[in-house]
Amino acid sequence: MNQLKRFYIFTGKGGVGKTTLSLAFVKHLKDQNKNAKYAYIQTNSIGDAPPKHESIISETKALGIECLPLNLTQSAEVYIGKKLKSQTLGKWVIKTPFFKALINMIPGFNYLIYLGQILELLNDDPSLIIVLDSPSSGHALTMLESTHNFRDIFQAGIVFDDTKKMIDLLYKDGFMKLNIVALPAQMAINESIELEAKLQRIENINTSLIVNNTYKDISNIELASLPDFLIEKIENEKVLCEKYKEKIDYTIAHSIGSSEQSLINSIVPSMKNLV
Amino acid sequence: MNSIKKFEIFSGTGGVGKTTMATSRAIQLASEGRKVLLITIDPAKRLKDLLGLKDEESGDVITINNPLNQGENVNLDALLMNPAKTLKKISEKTGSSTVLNNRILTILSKPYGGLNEIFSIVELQLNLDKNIYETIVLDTPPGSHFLDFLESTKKIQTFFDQSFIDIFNYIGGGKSQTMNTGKKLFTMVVSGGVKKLLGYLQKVTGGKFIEDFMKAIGAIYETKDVFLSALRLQEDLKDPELSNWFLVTSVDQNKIKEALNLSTSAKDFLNDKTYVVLNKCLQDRLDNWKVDDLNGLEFELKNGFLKREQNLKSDLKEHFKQMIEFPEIIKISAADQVVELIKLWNIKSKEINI
Repeated sequence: MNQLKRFYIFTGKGGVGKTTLSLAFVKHLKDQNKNAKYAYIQTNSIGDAPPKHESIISETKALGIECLPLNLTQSAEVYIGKKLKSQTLGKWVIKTPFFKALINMIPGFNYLIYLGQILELLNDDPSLIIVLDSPSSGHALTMLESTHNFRDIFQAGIVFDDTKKMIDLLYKDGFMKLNIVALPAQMAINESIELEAKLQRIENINTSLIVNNTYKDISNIELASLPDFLIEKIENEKVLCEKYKEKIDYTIAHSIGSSEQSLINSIVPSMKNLV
Repeated sequence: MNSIKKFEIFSGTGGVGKTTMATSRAIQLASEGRKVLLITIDPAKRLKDLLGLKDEESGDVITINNPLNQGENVNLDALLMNPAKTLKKISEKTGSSTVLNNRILTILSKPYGGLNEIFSIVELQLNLDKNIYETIVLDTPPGSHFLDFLESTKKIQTFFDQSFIDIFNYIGGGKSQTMNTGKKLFTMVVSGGVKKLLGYLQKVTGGKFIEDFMKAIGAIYETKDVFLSALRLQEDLKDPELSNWFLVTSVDQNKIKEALNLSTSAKDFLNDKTYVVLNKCLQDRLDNWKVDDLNGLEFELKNGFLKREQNLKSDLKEHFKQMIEFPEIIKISAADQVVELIKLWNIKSKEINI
């Protein structure tokens, strides 16, 4: 059993099951009486009203887990406010057209602010564990590169000091883990391995590769009773998983559940592997 | 005879085969003898290998002869986005070298610095200006970042909005004296309306950054014509007479809500002329799968697949008038998959006359 980390990130292409796995993972931690929160990015630009994300709200409620929506306006207000030691000033600064244009134009800055906020929360509450349902793969790179990029961009000042602190904390042994989720297809697995390599170029990041929604792992499935196209799919999955067995850490079977919630509950037990 | 569209734009929620779809469509169009350029942002290495594209060549237009063995006379031009190269092109086009010497711009134009969205619209415009392509196929970034791409024109607009232009007008027209020192610019700005803000910012970011940032703005301002001409492109992209939009989604992807959200948030661009491309359909195969035991796992599995696909289709039909269905291609080799998709595009394009 791995040691529990403080900060988990789930990333991967859209539709691979990041949200489902993140929610199931938080549920697993909750079941262990851990103080875990599910974080997701609500909106990425300043000024726009964040969308409601009703499905996420109702799902987290049904699962009994706490939600941490990240929206740029609020996060930036809090972050800049903290740095200037005045929330009023923070609010004022981010409302100016100049700052709005700046933050919306310089892309990685939003991620730096989210990371800053997450790390502050973790710092304030030593029992807290945050599970981030992260943006898709390319943007996960933008996010994790943002600390380094802005350290190099600023070279002095409060945020510069902060980026250094953030890097120290993020890459401290046993602090963060990044789970890359992929579907069982050649191209998808390849891309995840590429992502892993690109992340490693930033820092020595603790990563796992999870192949989700496999048919070969459905329990009690009998090949003989399946039609040719499914047999072929399963055979392909086996070939792929064998080929990349050094790289793939876990596989999660396709769930034949009807509702999203029963699906989440059905995979909670396998979540202990992702710690 | 179908009218040739200047742009074909592929958007989607990511992980749905969007890049593969865009690539196979571009090859299919090229195989009809059209002069086609494919612009793609971050394709899988495997796909690059298939096309013979090398990372070192990213940012340059590469002519691929006989792509995936579609014929010796078939040629496709392809461009892998590379923000640093785009910046260089912008500099050449405007005769401004300042953009290349700015520390901040250099860092931000690293491959994942985050400028891909804005720059892909610039690339589109730059290549359009060459006047050699009948169709440009654009593979946009996935998911909500696709909205970033759409919003990039808005961002450019905000960036060059009146308050900025005022600052620069205030400082005075003479480019040479205006732009050579950020410090001077900074002093000017500080004495202007944004003094207080910059004062606070300086505390947060350090003075060197403000200085470099002002230089960066100055540098970008020198090249503003390129950005502003990219802005005009927005209107063409919205015009169904000039552009085909494909919203790609996939049956195995539990992202219907996201796709629908995307279509609502992007309604300026996506309209009832938008094609929704539904990838990895299993319907035909499922219809041929006879299951006897109605209580067994097989029945549950088949029903699960069927329900998923039918729900998705009826949801999509409510929002889109035109749906193009692609069956799932169960082949392990990526090359075989793309070749199959090219064949399917050939059939579909005749069926629906695109």
